[in-house]
Amino acid sequence: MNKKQILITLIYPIVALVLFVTIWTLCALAYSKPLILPYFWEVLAELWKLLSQGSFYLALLATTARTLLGFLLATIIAWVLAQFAADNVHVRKVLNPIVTVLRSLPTMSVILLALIWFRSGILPVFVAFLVAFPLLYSSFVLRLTQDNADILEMCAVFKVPCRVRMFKLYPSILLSTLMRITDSILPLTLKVIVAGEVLANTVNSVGVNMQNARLNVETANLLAWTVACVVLCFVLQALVALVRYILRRTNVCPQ
Amino acid sequence: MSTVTFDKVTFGYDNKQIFSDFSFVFNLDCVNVVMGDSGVGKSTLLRLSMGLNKPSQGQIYCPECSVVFQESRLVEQLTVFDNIDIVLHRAYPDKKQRTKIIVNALQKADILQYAKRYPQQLSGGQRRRAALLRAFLYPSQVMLLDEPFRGLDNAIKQSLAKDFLMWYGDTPKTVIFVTHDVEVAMTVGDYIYKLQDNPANMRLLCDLSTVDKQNRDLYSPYFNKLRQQLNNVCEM
Amino acid sequence: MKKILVVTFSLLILCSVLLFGGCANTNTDKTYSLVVPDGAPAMAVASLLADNVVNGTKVVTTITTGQDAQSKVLSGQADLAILPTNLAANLYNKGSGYKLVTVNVYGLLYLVASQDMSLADLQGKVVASIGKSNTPEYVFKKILSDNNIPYADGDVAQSGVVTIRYYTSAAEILPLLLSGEIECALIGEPAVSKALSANTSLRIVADLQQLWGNSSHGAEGYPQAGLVVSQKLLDENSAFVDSLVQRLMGNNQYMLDNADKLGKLFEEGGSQELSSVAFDKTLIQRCNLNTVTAKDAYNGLVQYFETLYNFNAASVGNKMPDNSFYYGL
Repeated sequence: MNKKQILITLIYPIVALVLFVTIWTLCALAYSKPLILPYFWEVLAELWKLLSQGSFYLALLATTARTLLGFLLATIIAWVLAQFAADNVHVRKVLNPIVTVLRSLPTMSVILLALIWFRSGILPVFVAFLVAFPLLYSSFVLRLTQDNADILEMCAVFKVPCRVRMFKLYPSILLSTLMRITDSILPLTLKVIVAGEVLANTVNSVGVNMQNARLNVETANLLAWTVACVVLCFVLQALVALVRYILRRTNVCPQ
Repeated sequence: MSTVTFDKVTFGYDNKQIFSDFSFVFNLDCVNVVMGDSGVGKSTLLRLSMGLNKPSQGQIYCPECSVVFQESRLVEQLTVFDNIDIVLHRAYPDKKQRTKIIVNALQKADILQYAKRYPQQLSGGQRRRAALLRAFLYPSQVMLLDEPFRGLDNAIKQSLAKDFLMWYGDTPKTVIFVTHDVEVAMTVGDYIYKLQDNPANMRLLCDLSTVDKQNRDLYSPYFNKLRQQLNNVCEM
Repeated sequence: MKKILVVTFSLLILCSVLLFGGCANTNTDKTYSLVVPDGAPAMAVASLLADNVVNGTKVVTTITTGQDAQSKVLSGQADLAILPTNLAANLYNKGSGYKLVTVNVYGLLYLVASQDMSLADLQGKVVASIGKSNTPEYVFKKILSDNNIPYADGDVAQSGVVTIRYYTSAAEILPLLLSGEIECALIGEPAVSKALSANTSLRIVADLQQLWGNSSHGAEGYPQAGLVVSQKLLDENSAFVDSLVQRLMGNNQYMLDNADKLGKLFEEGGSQELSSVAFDKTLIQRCNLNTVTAKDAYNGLVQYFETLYNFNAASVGNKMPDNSFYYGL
């Protein structure tokens, strides 16, 4: 990429950022209650303060770890179940209503119930799992049974053995599916994790820090944590893009 | 019996009766070309043979078969090599043996350099060639082809037809070859049929079983006349 | 000529009537808004719910959530509010302009358990507590450390240490306490009375107000919540504020005298926590609803704020509030 191309790629996000900050500042000026709507430089100052604290990085790391754990758990279980469901119509019919119910559960009620059953460290992971799993499972099953119906037919005609389907064919298809949907499901998982952390008062987490900021009416601090969370999201998505790139270069996965 | 036999088969979809008391025996170890108008039931014929649809009455005898579909039906997420590999697992459990067979075949078909590539990186013609290869390598007594060269331009069609003949020469099987293309029919066919009417039945158009497939001159007077005849019968 | 005179005269009379009438109307029609969080703070203004006119001025009381009360003070919508004193100091330090006029609640936190135990017995056990990053956390921890009892935040019991597990509200803790899943809980009134009446094997094993008095070597109880008034109202109508203080002084007695009517009173006032409570003398006394002016409560407030500041400076707004925070000082 030459200089001009780099410039063009950067110019749009910069314009968007400037626009956003301008609107923010105008609103803050109009409302002029800095305790409720701080100015963006106040938020940046708070963020700067946070960057010098070790506990900041620890909290980010812990929240990221929980996000990845929840996502991983959901992916593995959805993957395994989806493969069985694609192969066997009975499994599919049993799982369908369960997954539909899980998908319709309101996140907040799940969190409130889970507060009774789980320890505060595990709770966010459990809730994230419940939110991500139905989405992943549905995507996987649809990909296999609907988008690839003709491939499945081909396998039936060529009598491709079950072991080959389960260990070679389906995993390859699902890996490419996973690479595509991670972009939308990972940020969702992060959001749910933070919400769970807030309600569970999880030690060493982004959520509990947000909760404390709210309790102590430190609105600028709360917004600074929010900004940190958004940046974390971008970092995670960049990581996913990197993984995709590596898979493509090593010829493991075409997408 | 290593040929495909239809015995008093009745089959239809909700609104249409395709076959009614249909009986037919395909010629053993020959290329049976089936032509016909759209919607008459050519694809259905093949699907019934494959066992993907079941007749409401009657029986179909079809031994182990390979298929080449209208779309190449290669798994996008597997390499070309793996696409053929998964199909041969059952017949050749030993990985080394399997690999050797596939590599040799790919070389012969001149697409060895694409072995580690993914289908999306191949041209349409190359994908069909891979699908053809897959069907030929699969050990079977019957091969069903459903308009396998559809949508390609004529030069590529001819080239693929030649490839088919090359592979067929090594391993003759009972073949049911559905096509709309008169040139292809004349290139590969031993017997050319037309599936017609509703409910459908088979009408023999031409018997080419005595003409050597490998050395056909499609512009000889005989074939020119045949071409005209076929074009009239199968108005496209 | 006569007609003009008559018309002009009538107009003049009309104007003066409207003018003085209007003035009189603004005086008697002036209403102030008071926001109180549900629960104990609402109890502190029971007599206002029953009779909302103070010295000719109407006070409209809204019972709402703590979060809502806080935001109405932040936005300046409420003229008066009952808030936790540390929150009041925090907001004042951030420039809210609301001053503390009285302290109305001197603490109502208790340890409830299914069998008698001393503070030292809590080691190796889990105490379920409300109020993380707030008064309950800091008061309890101060008491524990003054008694040389080690504590830690966590979910499971560890030997030799009091493990404190935090929940969002008493409503979360009560079912677990009643079913026996939780051995010991730190909760406040009226949840304490609810628990005791629902399960007779439960009992109060510690009175945090008393323990605070012991460790601070001072009076019992800590100034938990109080009345804040906007600077605007204080400037406009300090006479009203003084009358209000007088009325609130008598609130505790009012509650004792009218205990049987309180449930309905709070329900009509919009309370959810207090509507199903059976008020009696014991409960009311356990709430320590003593009204003391900010001036008189000054020493206790400073000591309380200092304790909180030492645990978490942010809970009082990162500095001790200056003297003008205390009205009348």
